[in-house]
Amino acid sequence: MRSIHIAEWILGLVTSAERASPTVGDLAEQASSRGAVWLWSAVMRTAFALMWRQVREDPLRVTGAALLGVAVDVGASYIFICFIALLYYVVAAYQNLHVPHLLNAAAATWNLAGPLVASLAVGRVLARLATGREIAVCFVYVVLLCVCGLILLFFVPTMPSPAWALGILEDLAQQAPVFAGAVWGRRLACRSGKLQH
Amino acid sequence: MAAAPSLGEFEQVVLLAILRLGENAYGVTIGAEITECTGREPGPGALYTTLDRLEDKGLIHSRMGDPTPQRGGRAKRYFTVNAKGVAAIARAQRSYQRLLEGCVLPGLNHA
Repeated sequence: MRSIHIAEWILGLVTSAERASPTVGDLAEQASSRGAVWLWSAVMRTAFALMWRQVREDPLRVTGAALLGVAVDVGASYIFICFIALLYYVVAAYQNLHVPHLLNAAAATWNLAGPLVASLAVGRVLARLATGREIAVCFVYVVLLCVCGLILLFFVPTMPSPAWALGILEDLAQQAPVFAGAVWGRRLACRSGKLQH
Repeated sequence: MAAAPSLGEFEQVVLLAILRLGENAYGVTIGAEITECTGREPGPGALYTTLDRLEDKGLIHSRMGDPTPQRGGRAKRYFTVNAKGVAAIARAQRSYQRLLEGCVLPGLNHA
């Protein structure tokens, strides 16, 4: 039964809870004769189809929101780079005075946490820009980032081809916090009544 | 006056399946009816997005049934075609009939 709850949660991300619940019930009813693999395949296909419908319903709004998300991401990256540069400058300046290694640790921590926090923030921004279509806009955002990455790699062909593929996979993995931020935003919108449960 | 909603091929198939099933039209039975009548099994993604779209267009409406244990305690969502939906499917089928008139097709005689 736990898997039914997870399936309902997944579908609830791309449709209202009142539609997600009977849909999962239908899939569970059929899964009793078709098995668990079919259930999860059906849940993922249904979730993707419902998400894609949200993109097709209003492609301009979704793409516009995703482009704005890319702009926010680029802006946040510049702020992050500036902050890191400033931090390392301070570290370098104070190392001669034997200041504790606290600043070094802070820089290293920020180096790890910064992109995570920035991605979560981008996810929240995307959720706010496209309330009710949070996952759809994140999907378009990731596709746009991949396309931008491919274009950049095409014009700057310094890396060997296997590294391209690895780089793109790494980029995709780094977008998980964006989806988490969007889910968080959707949850807040549901709680505040902006979005139907 | 608002333009009459146009129907895609699969939307017509789903509407006709709901009409055939009457009071017992929910996701599982609609899918089974389509498979039985057309010989093609609809994917769950296509079926549920079409049902949502038809409801959003105001051609069908849904009501919730009682939860059952074999469905993990989830209720069934029963669909019925309303007057607007019946008019839309009748209009779409009349268009097909007009297109078929004069055509000579194996096994069909609309001349």
